[in-house]
Amino acid sequence: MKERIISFCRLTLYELRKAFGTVWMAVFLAVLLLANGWRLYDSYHQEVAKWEDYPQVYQECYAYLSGSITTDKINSLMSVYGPLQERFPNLSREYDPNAYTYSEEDDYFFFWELFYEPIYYDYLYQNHAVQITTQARELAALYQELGNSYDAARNEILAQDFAGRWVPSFGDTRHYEVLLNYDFSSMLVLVLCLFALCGVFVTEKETGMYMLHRTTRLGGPATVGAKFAASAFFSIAVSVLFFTQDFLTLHLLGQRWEALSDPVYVLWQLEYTPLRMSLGMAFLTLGAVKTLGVLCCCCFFLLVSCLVKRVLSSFMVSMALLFGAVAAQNLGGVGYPGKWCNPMELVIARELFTQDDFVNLFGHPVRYFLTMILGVILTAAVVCLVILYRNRSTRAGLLEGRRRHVSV
Amino acid sequence: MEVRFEGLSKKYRGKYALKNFSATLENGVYGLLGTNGAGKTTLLNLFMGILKPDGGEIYIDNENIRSLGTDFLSRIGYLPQYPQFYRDFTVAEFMDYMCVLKDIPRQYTKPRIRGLLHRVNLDEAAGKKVGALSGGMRQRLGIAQAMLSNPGILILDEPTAGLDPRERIRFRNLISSFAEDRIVILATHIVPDIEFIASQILLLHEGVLLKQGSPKALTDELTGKVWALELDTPDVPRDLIHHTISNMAREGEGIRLRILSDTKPHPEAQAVTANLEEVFLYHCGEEAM
Repeated sequence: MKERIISFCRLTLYELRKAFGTVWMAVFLAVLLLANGWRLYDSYHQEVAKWEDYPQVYQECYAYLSGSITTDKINSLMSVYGPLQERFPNLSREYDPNAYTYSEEDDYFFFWELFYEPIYYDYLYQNHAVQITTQARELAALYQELGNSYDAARNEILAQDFAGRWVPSFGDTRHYEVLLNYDFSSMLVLVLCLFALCGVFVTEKETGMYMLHRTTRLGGPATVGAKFAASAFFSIAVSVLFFTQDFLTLHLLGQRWEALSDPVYVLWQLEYTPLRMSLGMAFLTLGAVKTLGVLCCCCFFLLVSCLVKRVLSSFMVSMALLFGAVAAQNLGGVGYPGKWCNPMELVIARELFTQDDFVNLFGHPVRYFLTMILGVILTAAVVCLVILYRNRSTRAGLLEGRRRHVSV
Repeated sequence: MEVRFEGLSKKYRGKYALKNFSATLENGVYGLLGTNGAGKTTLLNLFMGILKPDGGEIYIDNENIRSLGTDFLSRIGYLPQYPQFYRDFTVAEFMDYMCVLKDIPRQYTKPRIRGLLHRVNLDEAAGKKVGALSGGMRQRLGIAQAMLSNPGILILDEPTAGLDPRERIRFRNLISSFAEDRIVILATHIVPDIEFIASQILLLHEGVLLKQGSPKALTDELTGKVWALELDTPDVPRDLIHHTISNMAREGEGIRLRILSDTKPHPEAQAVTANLEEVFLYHCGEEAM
């Protein structure tokens, strides 16, 4: 048994070496990492560029206003922002030496965008959550009375979700918003996986090695298994590498970590999220779901590689499939046929978690994101079975022969 | 070791690629000779379990290969037609990979790889990429990998295709050196590949085994059917063009012909000893030309 495991590990290492251990792959990976780094820098600066000229003012205000939201802090903010708000939109655009920024109007937008609006959102979130909880409980009771058990259960879950939600402190989350909306790295990971995986099976046909595989003891299911393992390892490793790069680069650019321990709904886009965890945990979860989506996409790439006869055809067909999946995800909106089979729904993971939606599964409310994850995993499992069947069925003689006697 | 084929058949789209093939092979080199599409590769693929037969059985030492399971695979070494292998692998890496595929215990892999690379004269190329090898070197690597599990049966499918004459001779000698105490099946349509090394020839045509015998026995069968003729004219006379001409060489103003004919084709024709190419030509007809 130990020898079997060692043989399988060695096969997997060779599969990794064959498909991914080339100079071209290393160069391509390095180029994509650089491109991702540049794009992260650009995205971050597009988000914060407007106020980049006033780092000192921002530092001073942030040092005072960040952390627990207290009445004193709100009063201090309102003592500066309140008069500006009252006079808006009649604020001067001329240079004012007494202004915190360039002019009175700039001051208004500076405080509104960087402090007033986020603190206002954080401060009022608790009230908002209480309202939702109360309404959900009332609706649950009403539906219960009406005998609508599905909607009653759905509202009960909603009430439980929003009960006790509050944002205890204010922290800079601009870089986390960039991170949440950043999809470029996912696309790069998919392109890299497409490039690497399109040849996994088809190369054996092009090199004539499939004939040798079929005449060796471990050239059948063990090699297919090793190909799966190597492809999964590669796609997970690449996903982790790129998603970690996103996370670390934006932290290095943002220079602030404190909001990581805040609840996930501190980001306004995740106001209604079903997740109940810290922002740090939420990003880990999003990363895991994205990686799962990438893995499922890779299953399709492997299927294509298994079905065609040329690497180029495999690359083109896989690329077309990828574009189709991206287009369906982008243009499809909430409902389109085959949504539950589209791994891109997991790759663009944030959209699964922005709404606390449910799906009626045999009369039970099941969270939308869970059904999506389950649907895509099932699809990938079916694809893997087809690949296994395909590789098994081509070993027609010897293996099938043992099961089915051929008479003269 | 003994391999026995009994009534092996395979059809593609209703047409027989191999029909009722029966033969018994014992240790030695077997030349599987036939035109393209004669059924050579089909026979090999049936033997190795890549294809499922429509009928017939194969036995190794009186044991049906179906009952041998994957153990059967460790008894055969195979060199496919036009192997490319993995261009990015080094020779040593490729051999090690093949050891993993053949499930050879790790403690035996290094000495076996070293020994085989030495035998096929590739020990100095161990660190070279497979993509950088010449055609002949790649074929030698192919036979080395086929020998990794020290198989009782060595199957070579068109092993000399695309090799230059020097490499072809070198490869033939290599096959002979590996042929001791095992069955070597060498499928080819190039007669000189097997003429001097095969102990038995299996002549396949359109899926049917036409002849089996030693090269000498097969050539002896054509005694009185191969004729040599020297003529002073530059062209083949009209009355000879209906005969099968196995060779035509110009000499000055005249020509020298070798003719296959059951009867004396020309008054000046001399009966000569047939060669294997003529046996092939005689049995497979114009298609073999």
